[in-house]
Amino acid sequence: MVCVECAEAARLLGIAWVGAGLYPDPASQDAFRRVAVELAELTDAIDFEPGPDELRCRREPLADLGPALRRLTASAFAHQVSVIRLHPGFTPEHLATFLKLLALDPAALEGIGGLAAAVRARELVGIEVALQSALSDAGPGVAASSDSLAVSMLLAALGETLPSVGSASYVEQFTEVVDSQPEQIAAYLEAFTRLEVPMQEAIISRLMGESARELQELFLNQLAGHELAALGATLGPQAASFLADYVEYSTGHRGIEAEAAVLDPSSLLTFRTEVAARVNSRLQELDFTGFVRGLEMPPKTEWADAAQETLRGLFLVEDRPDKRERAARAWTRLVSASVRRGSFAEAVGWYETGSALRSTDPGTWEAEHTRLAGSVIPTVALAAAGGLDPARLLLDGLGPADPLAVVTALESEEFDGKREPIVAGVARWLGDDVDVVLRALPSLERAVPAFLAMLKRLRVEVGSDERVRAFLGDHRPEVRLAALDVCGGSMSVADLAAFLDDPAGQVRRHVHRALAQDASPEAIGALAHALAGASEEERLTIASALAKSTGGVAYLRSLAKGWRASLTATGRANRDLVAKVLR
Amino acid sequence: MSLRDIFVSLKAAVGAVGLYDVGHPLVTGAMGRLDAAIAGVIAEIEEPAVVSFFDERVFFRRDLRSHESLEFVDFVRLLESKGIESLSFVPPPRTEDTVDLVLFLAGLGDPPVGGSVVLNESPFTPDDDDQSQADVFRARYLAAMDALRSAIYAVQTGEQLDLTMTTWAVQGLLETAVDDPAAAILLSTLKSHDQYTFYHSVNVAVLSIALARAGGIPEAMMEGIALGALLHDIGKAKVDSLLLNKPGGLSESEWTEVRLHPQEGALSILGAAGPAQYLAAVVAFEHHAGYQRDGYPNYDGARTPHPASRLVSVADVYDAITTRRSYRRAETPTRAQLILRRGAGTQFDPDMVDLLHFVLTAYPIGSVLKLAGGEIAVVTNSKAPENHLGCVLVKGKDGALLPEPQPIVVSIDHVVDQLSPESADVQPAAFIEQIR
Repeated sequence: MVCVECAEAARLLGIAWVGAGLYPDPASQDAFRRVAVELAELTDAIDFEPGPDELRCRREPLADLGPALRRLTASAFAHQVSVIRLHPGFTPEHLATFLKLLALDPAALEGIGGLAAAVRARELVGIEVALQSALSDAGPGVAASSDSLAVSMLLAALGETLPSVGSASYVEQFTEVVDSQPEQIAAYLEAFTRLEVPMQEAIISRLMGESARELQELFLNQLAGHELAALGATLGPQAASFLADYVEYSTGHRGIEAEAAVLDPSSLLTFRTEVAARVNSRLQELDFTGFVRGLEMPPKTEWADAAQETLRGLFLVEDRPDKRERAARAWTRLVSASVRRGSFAEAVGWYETGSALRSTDPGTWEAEHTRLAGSVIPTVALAAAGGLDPARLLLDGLGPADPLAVVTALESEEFDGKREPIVAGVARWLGDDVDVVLRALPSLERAVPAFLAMLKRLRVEVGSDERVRAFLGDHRPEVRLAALDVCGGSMSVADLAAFLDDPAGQVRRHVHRALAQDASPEAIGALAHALAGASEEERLTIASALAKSTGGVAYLRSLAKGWRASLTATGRANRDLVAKVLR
Repeated sequence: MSLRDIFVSLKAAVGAVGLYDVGHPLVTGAMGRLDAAIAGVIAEIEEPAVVSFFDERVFFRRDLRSHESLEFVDFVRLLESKGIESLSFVPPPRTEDTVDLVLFLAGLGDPPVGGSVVLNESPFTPDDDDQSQADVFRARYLAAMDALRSAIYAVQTGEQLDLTMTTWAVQGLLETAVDDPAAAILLSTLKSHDQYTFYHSVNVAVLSIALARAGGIPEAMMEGIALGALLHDIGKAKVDSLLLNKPGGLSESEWTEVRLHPQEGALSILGAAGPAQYLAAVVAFEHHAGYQRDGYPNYDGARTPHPASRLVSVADVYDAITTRRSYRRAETPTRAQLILRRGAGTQFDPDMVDLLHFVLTAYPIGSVLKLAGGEIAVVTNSKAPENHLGCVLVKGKDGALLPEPQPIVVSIDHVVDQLSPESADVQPAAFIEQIR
């Protein structure tokens, strides 16, 4: 297990390596200095041990080396470094110097004793390197890790194996190298260009006579991509002619050079300078009319379309999982950013490019889609509620993946005060499917009244559903009221009557109306009981409710009759009340 | 010997002494070349040679040296960071003093005190009013390069790409193209072997702007095209630089790696882009796709590349061919156009190739020409009437550099050859002040 400090130090070292390669004077760059200073704030000395294909820190291998650390590791290994030790407190200048030295070809430091000697000579404080103690164990491949070393070795080998012009040894050796050490082909060819011209021509003639077409192509392709200035000086005419022939039919690698060679292979290879007249006449031959049409460029409003096509292409062409994940993240960002800007038509376009990802990598799409839905649905739902067609389309796309997320997203505080119309929009989008709302209700709080109101408007029979009834006991009066509104029709008189003592007047008034509407003897009885104990103000509302049913009216009239109605204060009050509501 | 020779050899000597002991043959060789360059310049002007640095600009005596300011900008920044405002080389030159200077610049010694190398004795400070339009153009070119460097750094280190700086930089290039299209084209002849990507990308942006303007593209769209051109190779930040500069041919697996850069570029841009930058992602993705979609990346259902990608592709290849790389020499502008012409209709959009020729002509601004008498001239006006070219004569019949460039008008019939700036040892961008 790599410690946190190691991982962080490695990350910083990688960034510093990039900066050292990028800036001529890295220590003068703020970005580099920041990283160097951070790296120098180590709590203790830290060792990095480069291997052929891994980097260890404090003896533990670092996982997932990025490209920068891979290059640093390869370079350190090429310098035969076994340990890079960083002590706390080194300066950005010294780190920059060290990384610049490390980036050099090892051959450049041969004359001064290699990297370790160069580091010592520069008196770099806080930075030490130790070299591999047992180089021989690594074999000749390691020693030849720099091109120039490899070239020297191969030249020496060629000197021994090519005793006479026309020897087949080179071709045989070359074939062997192709099979076993493809990474050394370039070095082998470099060695080839340093041979005497007759030797080159003999070898290339021999090679062209070989039946192994693949080998010829490889060899000549390497030559064609070589430093042409050097070839011009080193290739014999026959070798150059072969090369030109090859380039003429080659349409693959280094297409531009191939074109140049086709046009004028001799001048390309021999650097004749007196070609101006010929070039001029050929320009004329090309029949250039000088007429230029106005360019047709799609308007700026279509840039998004083109960029969406690009993203689609990235999904289709990319076969590396890590890159596809980056593309997927870009997709989420682009859809979200368009939504945030209110550009829903554009957001739909970006969203639809996701189908390419879905077809190539359903798993990544699924994960990213869920993340996207969670972040944009509230905003999209709001726009959809406002009647914006692209927003509805987008909601259609995002919703089916997780309609529950659509509903629960509306819980967000940002919708306070404007939730009703959004919920209405979502309701339209959900159609008759209220089950998703019922499933969401237990996890909602802010959005409950709006969804209960929605259920009421839809006139669906959900009053007996426990998930709705649970809100009858909610601490918020408006929620109890909304729940009563939905459940009232399926509640018994006794259940309703229980709310006659509700602390919220609005809830009690609702129950008064509901019981009056019920008008059963039990309901009238419950109201009559409530009337007796109610405040002056509430007595009027209860009486008004009673006055709306025959049974209620009969009860009220009974209150205004008899001696009590005239002789007692309560009776007189009842009589006056009845007179008011039955007038 | 020229001021440029002093810079080249001073830079090389600082690099050598950073690696080897002072007595090492490589160091002594570099020091010898530096001494020779200094001695040559002093002998030519017959007085102390005073080089001043102000705001990343180089002045030789009191004259602004445009090309050196741009070509050696990183080295000039190093000098300025060491507190050097001027360097005076006083006759007779003495090796021990130049060694002191080199050691100081390499961070291995104290500043030289007196002798034949004097620091900050009489730096020339231009008035603000002295800032010419060419200075402004140069500053914009550098700003674009710096913005690109930051973008590449972000991509390489996996940080979020911030396109604000690159967008500003592109606006600067667009202003230059409006203010003086010819100067913009001349600046695009700037080349650098060791910092190829930066110069190349800015040049492609400049050329693309020129092509788009000539093609009648509305101004509102220019920024997107220019940004696409500037960032077209940003994905190379993710490709091993050893592969990109490899002298030999590439293996199939290495080619596969290199061919990923359009995808990498598009991914990086799409990870940060707003609507104004969408086109940049398209261009980065498609600039190697080929007019007939036979390039890369390719996939089922791929469409013809966007016109902006086809435009940038032509500018890209033109600049690439006219630049020396580790695996081939630089071609002349005419040859580059011939190569593009051969690919028109297959690899390249023929309309874009026509457009390039219309903008640049066979002898674009900055072309280095060999005349019938053996003189060397640089084109400053490629559209003079009746088969003539506006030029400055920079080398005489004997091949020697003229003390001052001489404006001349040349008939095309008197042109016998077109040379690459490198082979003629001429830096066309140095003549930006001659553009009229």
